[in-house]
Amino acid sequence: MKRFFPILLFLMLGIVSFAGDPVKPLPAKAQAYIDKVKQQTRSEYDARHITDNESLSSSFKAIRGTKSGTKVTFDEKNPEAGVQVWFVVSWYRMLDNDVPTGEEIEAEFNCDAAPGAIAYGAACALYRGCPLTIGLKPDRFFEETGLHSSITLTHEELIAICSSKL
Amino acid sequence: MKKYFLILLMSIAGSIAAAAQEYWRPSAELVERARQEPVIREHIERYISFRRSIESEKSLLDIHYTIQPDGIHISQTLKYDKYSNMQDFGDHYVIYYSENDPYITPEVRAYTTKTFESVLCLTLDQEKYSTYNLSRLCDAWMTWLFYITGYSIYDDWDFKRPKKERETTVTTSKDIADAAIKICRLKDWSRDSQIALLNRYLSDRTSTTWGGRKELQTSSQFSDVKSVTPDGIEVCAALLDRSGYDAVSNDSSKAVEFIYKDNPLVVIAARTLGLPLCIHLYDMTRFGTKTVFTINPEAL
Repeated sequence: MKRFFPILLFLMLGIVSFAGDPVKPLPAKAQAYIDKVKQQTRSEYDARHITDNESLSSSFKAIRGTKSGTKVTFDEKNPEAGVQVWFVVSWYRMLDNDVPTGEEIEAEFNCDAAPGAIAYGAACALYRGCPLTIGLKPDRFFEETGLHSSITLTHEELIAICSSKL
Repeated sequence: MKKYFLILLMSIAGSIAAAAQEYWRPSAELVERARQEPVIREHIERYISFRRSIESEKSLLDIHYTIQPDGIHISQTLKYDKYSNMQDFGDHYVIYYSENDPYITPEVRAYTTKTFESVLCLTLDQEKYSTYNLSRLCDAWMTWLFYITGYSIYDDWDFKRPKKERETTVTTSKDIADAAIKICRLKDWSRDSQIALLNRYLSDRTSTTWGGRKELQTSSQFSDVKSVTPDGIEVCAALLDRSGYDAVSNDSSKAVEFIYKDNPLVVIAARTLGLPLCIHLYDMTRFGTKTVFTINPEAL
């Protein structure tokens, strides 16, 4: 029995380490970003979401001008689509271009204190080796007009941005 | 002695402050105009029919109402009361008359909601009950409008019980204001406080189905209120077809008409509070095409 225990322990350690590794090898700084987001979000969200395969959806700190209903999702069946972070904005604010600026969105990648949806989504995308899409959707008239706006960052762009935030 | 003097002084000051509590109301002419608004009657009828549909499930009450100059008179006859205490219906409780339960006062049935904090309502918590439970029949804007009209609600209860006499309860518009002050933590019921209240409940004037019940929805399809401030009410309206936009954007009176049809309370509120109405019209077929009108309250 004693002989089997170290083997079992060794196997378990192997599984844990596999579950915790990103899909693609990452530079040390990008890995450090994931670790920091995990550490920072532990109290607010379930940090396991970063490493498990469930669809991600939660309430996150809103950016200026956005409403509740922010969603972070990842579709296992369509991994190429990457991690998606969608904010809801009043339709008239979108039309008046009164929406978060590029600088404000970039600032949301900071992971120093209470990271929001973007930092969380970025950590997920880094881990999964996929792109990150950040989008704004109106609270009304989406179906009638298709009004929305989004930006997609490639995995490489994401590594560069996140590494610079450490 | 000094200590007592200070306490006395403070209590006098408190009494003066309470006495000076302002219950702002517009001019008699505007009150009368608000009363004539079809949305008021629709609202009352919607409420009555909604209540009746709930009551009829248990066949508890016969309800009849009339709108008279002094207020809404609602007569209700409790057909039978085999139940007692309180029953949980998910989003609301129904409290039944119970002769032997001293904790249920007053001794009649009344609704109270679980989420009363989010809207204006009168509940048993305030040691005053009303069948006109505001949280169940309207949003904050509707409640405010009802206050403005100055109607009282007379609930005439007939219990058909040997030991229970007929009872009439009255909910005045001041009761509504007091409930709003208390629940929404307003400092008073001045015009500015009423404006702040409407601004706080902007979401009541969106497409969101109020309280999850479509039959009680009073909100709009195409317009949202952006802000309510002492400077005016800003409303944004979306026109989904080009010809409609062209027709409305060339004529401010047509723009007001459009808003009134879609969201009457916005126009009524601007007129009654004496605030300019700033209408932003958006052509949803041509993003970037927009027209802005500012209309003085006298023209509404």
